[in-house]
Amino acid sequence: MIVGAGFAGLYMLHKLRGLWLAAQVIEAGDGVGGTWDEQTQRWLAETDGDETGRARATIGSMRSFSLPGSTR
Amino acid sequence: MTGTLERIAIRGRDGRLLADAWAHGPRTYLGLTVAGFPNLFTVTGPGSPSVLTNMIMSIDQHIEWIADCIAWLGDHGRSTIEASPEAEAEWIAHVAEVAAPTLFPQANSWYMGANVPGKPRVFLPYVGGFPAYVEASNDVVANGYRGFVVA
Repeated sequence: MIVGAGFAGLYMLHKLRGLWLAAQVIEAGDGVGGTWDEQTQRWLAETDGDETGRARATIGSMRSFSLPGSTR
Repeated sequence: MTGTLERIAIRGRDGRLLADAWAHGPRTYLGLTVAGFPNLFTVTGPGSPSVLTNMIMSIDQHIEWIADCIAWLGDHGRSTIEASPEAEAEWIAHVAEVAAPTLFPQANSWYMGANVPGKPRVFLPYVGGFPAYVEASNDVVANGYRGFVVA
């Protein structure tokens, strides 16, 4: 059981799959990215999505992929 | 630094809550495991370098340590790994010892948990440096997971 689908949770899932182990990822947010995504969204909101906000939010691109085996 | 873990009802032996076990400040072995909580790994947890490094680097190192550990347990037909209370106490003392000569414990910072009213003031991250930490955690493995009870 992996709690959180941020960098750590996703890499852990990747490693466990490499060991042919079954794993479940649970994530409080509505997609992958974990706290990284949560903070990105907050920065974007605080900066009204201006250049600084967008630069900080590059990490938000994590949202655009999903990984087989990860569950929300 | 501890809030995320304490908000989850993580229960160890005898149904003990992690939040209760840490009521007087977090206790970990290598910032990665907790006595009384078998098979729980706290990635970049308190007592590891975590926020004093690039987080991705620390995450990378912890995840690989955990994956190697799980593989090792499987290879040796074991199913549980748990920090011994002695190893945990030793690690906590070491974390405090390396922080003591620095200014970190003197400041009202979130490194001390000072941002949360009523939170016990304990210096949270390992300040001995990433290379020293990697060496220490690899050394534990090289010595047959020293400080752990494996069953």
